[in-house]
Amino acid sequence: MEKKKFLLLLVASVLVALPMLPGCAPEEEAPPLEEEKYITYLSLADYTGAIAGLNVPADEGLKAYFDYLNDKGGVNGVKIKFIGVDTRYDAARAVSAYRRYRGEHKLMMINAIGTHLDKAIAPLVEEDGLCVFTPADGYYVAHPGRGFLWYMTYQDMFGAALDWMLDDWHAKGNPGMPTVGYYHWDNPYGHEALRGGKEYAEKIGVNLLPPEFNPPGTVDHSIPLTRLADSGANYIYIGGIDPNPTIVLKSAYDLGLTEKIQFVTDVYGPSETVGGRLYPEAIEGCVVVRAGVDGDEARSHPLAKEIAKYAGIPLSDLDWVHIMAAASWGMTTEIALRKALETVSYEDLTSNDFYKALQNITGAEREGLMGPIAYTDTERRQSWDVKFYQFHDGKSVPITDWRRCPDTVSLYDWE
Amino acid sequence: MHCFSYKKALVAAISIALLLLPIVGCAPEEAAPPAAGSIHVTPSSLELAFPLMLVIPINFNGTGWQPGEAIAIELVLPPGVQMKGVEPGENAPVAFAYADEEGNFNTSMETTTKILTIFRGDLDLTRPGNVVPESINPIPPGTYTIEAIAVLSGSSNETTITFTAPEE
Repeated sequence: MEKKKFLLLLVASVLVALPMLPGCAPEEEAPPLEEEKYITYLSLADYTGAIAGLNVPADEGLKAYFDYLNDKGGVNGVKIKFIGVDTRYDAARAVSAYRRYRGEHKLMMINAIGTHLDKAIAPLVEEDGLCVFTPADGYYVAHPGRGFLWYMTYQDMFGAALDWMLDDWHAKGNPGMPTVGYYHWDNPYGHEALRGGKEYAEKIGVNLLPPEFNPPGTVDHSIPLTRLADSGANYIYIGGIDPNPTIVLKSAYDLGLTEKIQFVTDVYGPSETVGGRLYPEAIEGCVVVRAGVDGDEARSHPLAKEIAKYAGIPLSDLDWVHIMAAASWGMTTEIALRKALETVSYEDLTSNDFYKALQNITGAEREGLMGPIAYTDTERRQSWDVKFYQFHDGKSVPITDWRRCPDTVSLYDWE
Repeated sequence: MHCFSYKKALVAAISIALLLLPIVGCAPEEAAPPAAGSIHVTPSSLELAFPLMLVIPINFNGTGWQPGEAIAIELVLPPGVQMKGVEPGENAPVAFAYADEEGNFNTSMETTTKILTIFRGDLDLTRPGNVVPESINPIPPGTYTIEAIAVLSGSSNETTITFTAPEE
């Protein structure tokens, strides 16, 4: 009888324990939403801060592109989930956002809307084996790592602008070399183009005047602009994010300088929907260096209609930044994902596969919206090509075809 | 008789082991995060005076962290305190640091973070000084918890800071 009781206890124990054994197997990753295959793209963005005017339309264009792509079935059935976090351009918020989202399902790509945000998370990105899109600092080209530029560097753009000025100067029958002024924000971005750009000016023999800087938010630029004009500037290269360059041009216009001096701005110069609507008369004739297509040229592209439709905005409000984001961040992510899926299944896909793929899509085209992709295992420029536009009646009109930027980064001593 | 007692004990032991298996065997596999280091804030109390506070350094330092560890420093917002870019229930980030080789860190709150977070203000690069004065809306005076959280391991520690109403 006793024996039977113990045997009964043993059997009962086995029966209780057995069904629970499968529950002890290592936990598998939760299945993706509705069994969809997807990767995650995290935007450490600025929707309500200092550069929201640039980032809101940019992420609007990017998200529209991902929605469009996902509706077409994604990349071989793999969709791209977009997560946008408003860091307000604050590095502390970027680090905390990274902490919260680093565990997202198949997180492959992060966009840092400012170089300082990227530098804050860079060691974490390295540790986690992820990749980051980062603006245009030469540092990332000089020290290739997991930071991939949105286009070329600021110094390369400046070099391309100097090349264009030289051509324009000679095309107008002028002898010798032009004198060039430089007027930018007094912050790391404002100084960056000179790290290699200054050396390039010397190399090609352009007379580059001592640079002038202004704190962001300056309203009256008449004193430094007058100083540059009095020093004999034939061209002035200006920086800052629109509407700031438009405000600089307004000061120049009020002084009558836009009649005498050719102004050229960097990639963030006047746009049709900001400067073009604010002071069209002040930006008339201004030349802008763009890393992608602009104006009617951009809006007439078949993809533009889709982006406007998915973003829920009229085509007339579609700006260069919508298109740039769709091409530079969206299409590049799509192309790298496609490349990665050629070598590994979705199930086995890791961020390291994506990192390798990003370096192996050299020469890929993005329907003519930007130059071909330039990334390699040692190259972090996304593209070498810029296009020059000029404002007429508030409209941005192309004045060149794609022009290759010079390599100015290699001229700077980074040590 | 002896033989039966031995068997009885063995069966009882196996039964108990089997009953415990689901509990012990299913314990989370993750190792506990390493113990967090310390966090101190200096000063521990200050006035919510704008723009005076912008020039007063708010320093955070700590010891005992893992070498090279990234640490997010966040302000715990009481229920009902709203802030742009911060979802309800989330903390408001105020700084970050990387521990040095000895596991120490020393960092401070950026001026823009003070404007955006302590004063809940807006920035505008077209305005002189870049601050939108009419947007300044300090967080309510009181004692707030500051959390220091290791980004990769999740270990954390905390301290407090008191913000007092500015003197009239």
